[in-house]
Amino acid sequence: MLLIPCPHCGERPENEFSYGGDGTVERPTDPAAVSDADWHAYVYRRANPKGPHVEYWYHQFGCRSWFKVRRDTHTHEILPLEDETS
Amino acid sequence: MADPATKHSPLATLTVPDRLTGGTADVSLTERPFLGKLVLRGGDGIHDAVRPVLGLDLPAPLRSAASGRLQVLWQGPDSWLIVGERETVGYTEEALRVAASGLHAAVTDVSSGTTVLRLAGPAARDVLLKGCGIDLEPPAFGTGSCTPTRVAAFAVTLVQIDDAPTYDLYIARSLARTFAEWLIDACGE
Repeated sequence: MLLIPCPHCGERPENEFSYGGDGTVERPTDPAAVSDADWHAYVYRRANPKGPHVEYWYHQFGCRSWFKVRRDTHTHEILPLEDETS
Repeated sequence: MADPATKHSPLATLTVPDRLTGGTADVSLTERPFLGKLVLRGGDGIHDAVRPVLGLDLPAPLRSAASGRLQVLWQGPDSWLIVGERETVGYTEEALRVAASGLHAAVTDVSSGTTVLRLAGPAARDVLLKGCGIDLEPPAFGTGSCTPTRVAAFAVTLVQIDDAPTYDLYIARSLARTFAEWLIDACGE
């Protein structure tokens, strides 16, 4: 089982969390100006990297916070989040 | 049919085996029914605003705090559970509303939403560890520690009361019976 570092509760077992998907997807700021193809890409299309992946996790059985984790999808290693605005 | 004007604990019809109520076993299980509970949520300024009402500081993450009449449990960033006798909690609710007015804050009575199971005795930690994946050994988790977590399939708020160790487990009313039966089973060996 993964040990996931919650920013509020520390490392907790994976079964306290829900996976929230790709953490890098940004909602278009002006939906009306977005083409159907781009909107489809925003809603459905996701990269499926083998390697580091920034993703959302929700501490459902804990403090109920959403946060980002950078995880290697191949080794399951939890990596430090790069300096990004989150 | 039950009298609707009478309070009923969600565990009123549960039979706890004598070996868990006798006081001599390695572990005991009791319910603390009908406590008053408030959820306090608030951001900037909430600590200073409610300190005079509660008579104590809101606890830091993963901690609880207690005065003589109230216990305050950390539940998450900007969220605390305030526990006490119903009457005490009733006037605390009003006082908190006044104290927090003008702040981005909320006070909500959730008294009946959960009940509290108290698990105590030298074997209590081992019982919990059958369903709980966090480190419950001091210093990681000791008297005064408090966290929402998962025990078996249940979302509970876990508080360590003393070094016996004694734990209070806050469980949703609708799941209390199933959870209590899980605990009784877990206490069986």
